[in-house]
Amino acid sequence: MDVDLLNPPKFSVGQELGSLIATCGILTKAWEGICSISNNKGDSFLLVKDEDVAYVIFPSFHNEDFIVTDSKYGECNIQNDKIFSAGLKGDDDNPALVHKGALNRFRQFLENQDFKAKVEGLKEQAIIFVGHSIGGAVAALATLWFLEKRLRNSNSFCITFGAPLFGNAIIREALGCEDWLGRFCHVVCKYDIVPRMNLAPYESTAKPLDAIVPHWWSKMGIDCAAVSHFSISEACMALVNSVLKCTSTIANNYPGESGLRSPFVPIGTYMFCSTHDAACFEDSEAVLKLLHFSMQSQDGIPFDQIAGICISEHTDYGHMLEDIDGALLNARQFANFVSNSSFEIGIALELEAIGVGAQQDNHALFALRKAGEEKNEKDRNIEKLNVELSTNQSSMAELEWYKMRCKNNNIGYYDAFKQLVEKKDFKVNLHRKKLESFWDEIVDKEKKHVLPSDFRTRNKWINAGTAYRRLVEPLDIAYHYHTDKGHKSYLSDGVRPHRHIVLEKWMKEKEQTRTGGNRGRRGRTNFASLTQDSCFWAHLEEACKALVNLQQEQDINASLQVCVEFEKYVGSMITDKSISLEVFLDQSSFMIWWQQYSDFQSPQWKSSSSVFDFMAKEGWKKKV
Amino acid sequence: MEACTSNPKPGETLDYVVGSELIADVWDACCKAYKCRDFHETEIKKNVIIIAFCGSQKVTDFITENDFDECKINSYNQHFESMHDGDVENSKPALVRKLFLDRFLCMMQSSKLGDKIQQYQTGKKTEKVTEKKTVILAGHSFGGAIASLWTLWALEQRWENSPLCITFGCPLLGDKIFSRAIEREKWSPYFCHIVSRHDIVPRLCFSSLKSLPISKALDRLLPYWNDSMQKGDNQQKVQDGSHALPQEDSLSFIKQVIADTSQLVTHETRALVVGSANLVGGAVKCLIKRSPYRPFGYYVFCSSSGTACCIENTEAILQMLYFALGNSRQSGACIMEHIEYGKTIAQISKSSSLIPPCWKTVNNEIPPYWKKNENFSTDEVALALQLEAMGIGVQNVQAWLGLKIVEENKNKLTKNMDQQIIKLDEMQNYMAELELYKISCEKDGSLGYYDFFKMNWTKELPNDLPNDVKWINANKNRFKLAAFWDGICELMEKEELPNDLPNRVKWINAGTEYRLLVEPLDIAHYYRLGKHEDSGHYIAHGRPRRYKLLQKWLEDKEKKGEMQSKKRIQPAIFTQDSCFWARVEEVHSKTDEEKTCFTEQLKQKMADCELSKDVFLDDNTFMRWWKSYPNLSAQEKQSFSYKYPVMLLPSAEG
Repeated sequence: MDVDLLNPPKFSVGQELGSLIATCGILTKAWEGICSISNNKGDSFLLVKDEDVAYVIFPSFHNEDFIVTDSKYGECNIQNDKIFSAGLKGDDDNPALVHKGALNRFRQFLENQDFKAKVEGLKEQAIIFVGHSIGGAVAALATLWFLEKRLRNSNSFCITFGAPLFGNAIIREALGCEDWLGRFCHVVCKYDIVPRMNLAPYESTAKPLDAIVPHWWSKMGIDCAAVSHFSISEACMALVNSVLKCTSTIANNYPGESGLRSPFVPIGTYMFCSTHDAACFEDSEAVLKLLHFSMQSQDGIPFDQIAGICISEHTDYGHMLEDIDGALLNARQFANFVSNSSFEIGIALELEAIGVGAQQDNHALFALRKAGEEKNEKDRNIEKLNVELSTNQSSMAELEWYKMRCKNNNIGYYDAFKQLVEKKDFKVNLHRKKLESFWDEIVDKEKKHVLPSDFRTRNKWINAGTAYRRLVEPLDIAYHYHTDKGHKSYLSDGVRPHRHIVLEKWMKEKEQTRTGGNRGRRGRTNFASLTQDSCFWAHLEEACKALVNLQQEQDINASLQVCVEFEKYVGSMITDKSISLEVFLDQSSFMIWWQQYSDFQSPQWKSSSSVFDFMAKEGWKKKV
Repeated sequence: MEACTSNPKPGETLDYVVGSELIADVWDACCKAYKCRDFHETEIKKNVIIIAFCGSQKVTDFITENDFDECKINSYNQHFESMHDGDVENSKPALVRKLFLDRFLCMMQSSKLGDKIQQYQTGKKTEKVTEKKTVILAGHSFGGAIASLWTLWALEQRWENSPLCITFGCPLLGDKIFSRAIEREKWSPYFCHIVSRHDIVPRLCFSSLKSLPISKALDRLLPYWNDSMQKGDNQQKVQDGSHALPQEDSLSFIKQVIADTSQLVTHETRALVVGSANLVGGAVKCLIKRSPYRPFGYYVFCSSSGTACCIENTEAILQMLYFALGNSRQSGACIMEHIEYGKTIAQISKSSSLIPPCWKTVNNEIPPYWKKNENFSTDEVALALQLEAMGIGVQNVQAWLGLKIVEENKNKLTKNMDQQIIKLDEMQNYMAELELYKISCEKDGSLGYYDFFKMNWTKELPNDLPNDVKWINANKNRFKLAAFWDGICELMEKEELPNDLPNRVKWINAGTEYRLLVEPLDIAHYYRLGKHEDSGHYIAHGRPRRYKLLQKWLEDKEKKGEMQSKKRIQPAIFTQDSCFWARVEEVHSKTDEEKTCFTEQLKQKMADCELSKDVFLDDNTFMRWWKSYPNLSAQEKQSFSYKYPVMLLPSAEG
C-alpha cells in the first residue's frame, strides 16, 4: 500500500474529453438525424453520409418497446436470436443479457435485408450508429453486431442519447476484452429518467410509463392522443420516485436483497451533460453511482419540479447541445484551489461540469476517486509486469539454450529433462519454477481484474504466453511423469496447470478473431522449431502406456484405439509441419515408441500408413 | 531587464533583442516592410542588420484546394533536408503551409537575398561587406512566416553563425514533424514569435480555410489589416476597427476559431495523459478533421498590461494559445491586437517583466495568490507566474490543469532519459565482456568471433573457460544489449524520450559502438539458425530495426557535417560496415558481376582501412570464400593476409 500512496493518479481528464466531444459537431449532426427521422414517423432506419462518415440512425421508440412481459427488468438472453456469435454467451449461471425490447427491434431491422446489405456496403471511413432512447439501445446492439463482423479495419462507433442500459456485466466484460468499450458513447442529460429506468423493476414503472410515453411521442413530433397535464405530472412523480428508490439502493451500496438488483450495468463511456458543460466517465461502477447522484438536485429545486424535468429532458437533447455550445467561452474559475493534486482538481472539474457539487464528503467524489485509483493501479501493474517480462526473458534464453544443447547430444530436451540426470537439469528446473510463478501470477491477476480489461487480447502478451507455453510446458509434462510415475494422465482433469490452459485459451480466442481479418496464416515451409501443440509429449506418454497395455494384451481395443489416434495426430502434424524435428532425434522417446508400435502393426498397415512412409524415408532429413 | 535564461548562445541573443530597445527597431522595420514589395533592410547600430519581410496578403491567396493548405516541405525544392521525422524506412517529410513555401521559393529565385545573408553570416569579403554581421530576420503576420522559412534555410546551411528570427503575430507554419525536427536540431532558440494575448492570427491556422465564418471574415479583415499597416497611422485604426467587420460576423468568426483551437488543444492534452489512449476520444479522433499545424521555436506571449512570458515547449505553447484567447469575449481585441504590436512592445519595455522560459528560483517576493499554497513546487510557481502574467490567473483551473499535464509529460521524458543513461552505463559492462569474447576468440589466430559464434561452440581452446560457457555468456550479453536498444527504439517511437536524442553525440557514439561490435553476432545467429533459407537474406529481410535506426543516426549526423571521421591510417578495430558479414554470406548466391563488384568494394574498403583484422583470419567464412573465388590472381589472393595493411597498401594503389 505504501507504493500506492507514493504514486497517486496524476490526472483525470473527463471534463476536457466531454467538452471535446460536445463541441466537435458529431453530436449535433447525430441529433439532427434523430429529429428528422422522428418527423418522418418512419419505422425504418436512416442513412446519412457526411464526407467520410456515415451515420446510421435508428428511430427513437415505440410504445410496446417499453413493455416487459416475461422478465423482471426487461432483460433477455442475447443468444435467443442467434444474431450474435457464440463468443458472447457467458456461461450457464451468468448468461449474457441484453435489453429485450431493443433486441427485438434490432432483429426486425436485420430481417429487413435492406439494412444488412446497406450497412455492409458502406465504404466510408467511419460508421456511427446513432439512436435516441430505445433507439439508442438498438444502436448499441447494432454496433456490437457490426464490431463482431470485424469487417476490414472498420471504424464503427455508437452514440446514444438518453438510452436505457442495454446489457449486463458479461457483455461489458466481453467488450472490455476486445478493447471496444471506447466505441460506445452514451450522452445523458443530467436529469433524464430513461438511462436509469431499467435499474428499477418493470412492475414499479409500468403504470406511470403508460401515461408518459405518449407524452414523449408528442414532444418528438409524433401525433398521438392528447394527455391531460395533470395525469402527466402525477405519473412523473410516481416514476421518478420508484426509480430513485432503486438507484439509491445501488449507489449507496445498501445491502438490499440480492435478487433485487437489476442485471443491467453501464457499458462504455458515459457523457453526463448539465446546462453548461459535460464530462465523460468510463468506469462502470462510478457511472452507476453518478446515475443516482446526478439526479439529485443541487440547486434547491423542489421535488415535483425535478420530476417534471426528469421527464422533459428525455426529449430535450437538442437544446442541451446548444446550451453547452453557447457556454463554451466561459472559463471555469475556482475561487480556491480544491486541492494541490491535479487529479483532485480534475475530479472537481468533472463534478462541476455535470452540475454535482464538489463538497469534500460527496459520494460521487469518492466514487470517481476510487475509479481513478483503480485505473491507476491497473496501469502500474501492467508497467511492472512489462519490466518483469523482460527480466524473465533471460530465463527463457537459458531454457532455449538447454534445448539446443540437448539437441546437440542427440536427445530431445523433453527426454533429457525427464531423466533429470545431469546437474544442469536442476538449474533448468529452477528457471522453470521461476517462469511458473511469473505466469501463475499473471493469470491470477487477470482473473482478479487488476489488469487492463483488454490485457488478454494484447498481441505482446499472447505471443509471450504462447512462446512460454510451447517451450516450457514439455518440461512441466516431463516433470509430471518423472515424479508421478505415470499413475495419472497429464491430460486428465486437474493435472494440467491452470496457467497453460488459460494461456492456450487466450491464444485460441485471439486466433479466432484474426481469421476474419486480412492476416491469413501462411502455411509452414519448414518444420517448426517448437512443436505447436504444447501437449504433444503428454499425448505421447499416453500412447506409450497404451502400447504397454497392448503388448501385455490388456484392453486391446481401447489401447489400439489410443495408439491409432495418436498416429493420426502425428500424421496431421507432419502434414502441416507443426511438429518439431527434435521429436525425430535418435534417442527421442517418440522414436522408441514408434519402433515398438510399427513392430506391433500388421504389414498391410505399413503399406497404407502415411506416417510409416514418412518415418521409413526419414522425411525429416529432407530439406524442403 | 533581467536575463535569466540558461540557454546557450542563441537564447541569450534572444533575450538581448527582446529585452532591449532593439525590439522597437525590429517592429519599425516590419512596419516599413509593408511599403516594399518583398523586404526591407536596415542596419541599426554597428553590425546589426534587420531584414524585415512584407506581410501583406491578398484575399485570393486563401482560396485553396485543401482545408488547411498544407504541402510537403520538400516539394519542388531541396532546401530543407533536416525537416523529416527521422524514421528509418520511408521517412516522412514535414508539412508546411503551401502559400508560404511558394512565396519563399519565388523569392529565392527572384532575389539575391540568399547570397546576401550568406555574405553577412560567413563574412566573405566582397566590395561592400567586409565582416560578419548579426542578422535579424523579422516579419509581421504573414511576413513572419516568410522570415521563419528564410531563417530555417540559413540554419540548414549550417554556417558558424545563423540569423535570428523575430516575428509578430505570425500564423503557424509547419506541422508536428516540422516542429519536432526543429527541436531535434536544437534550432528552437533561433525563432522568437511574439504574440499578443488576444491576437487572432496565430490561432487562425487551427481552422479550416473552407469554413464559412472564417472565409467570410477574412474577406474583409485582410484588406483592413493590410491597409492599416500600410498607412501606419495608429489613431485612425482604432476608429476603423469596429467598422471592419459587422459585429455578428466577427462574433461567429471568433467563436469558430476558439472552437477549433479548443478541439485541437483538448485533444492534444488528452493524448499526453498516460493510459487514456483507449478513451472514447481516441475513437473520435479519426472522425474530426484537425489542423496539422503546430507551433515551433520560442513564443513570447504579451498581455496588454505589459507583462509577458516566454514559453519554449510546443505543447505548453499550444495550451497558452488556447487559454489566453479562449477566455475572452473581446472580439474587437482579437482583431485589433494583430496590428497593434507597437503599443504592446512599448508597454513591455516600460514594465520590463518578461518571464523567461526556465524560471525556477523564487528570489523575488512571493505574490499573494499562492502564499496560502506554500507547498507549491517551484515548477508550479513558475506555472502560476506564467498564468498570472498572461492575465489568465491560477484560478482558471482548466488552464492550470492543461499546463500541468504538459509539464508532467516533460518531466516524464526527463525521468526516462535519466533512467536510460544509467542503463547505458550498465550496458558498458556487457559491451566490455563481448569485447573480451572477441579477443579471446581471435587468440588462436584461425577464426574470428563471427565464426566462433556462428559455429558450434564445442571446439575447445587450451587454458580457457570451456567454450560453451563463453558462448552462452556472449549470447546472454547479446540478448541484454538487444533488449536495451530495442527499448530505446520503442521509447523513441512512442515519443517518450527527448526528441533530440538521435542528435546527441554521446548516444550516436554508444549506438555505433554497439552496432559495430554486436551486429556481426546477430548476423552469425541468423545464419547459424538457417533463417536465411526461411525468410531471405539478413540485410533485406532479417536486419533488426534497432541497427537500421542507429546507423541512420550516425549517417544523419555525418551528413550535416557535424561529426566527421578522420582518415584512418591503421586498420579499424571493428569493421566499419557492420553488415560486412551478411554481405559475405550473401555473396555465395550472387551473380558473377555482383561478385566482382563486391571485390572492388572490398579493395576500396581495405584502402580506407575500414576492415578489421579479424576479417583476415585464415579459416573464417570470408577467407574460405576468398581463397576459393576463381576470378582472382594468386597475388591478389595473397595480398589478403593477416599482415595487412603493410603488404596490402601498395597493391591497392596499383
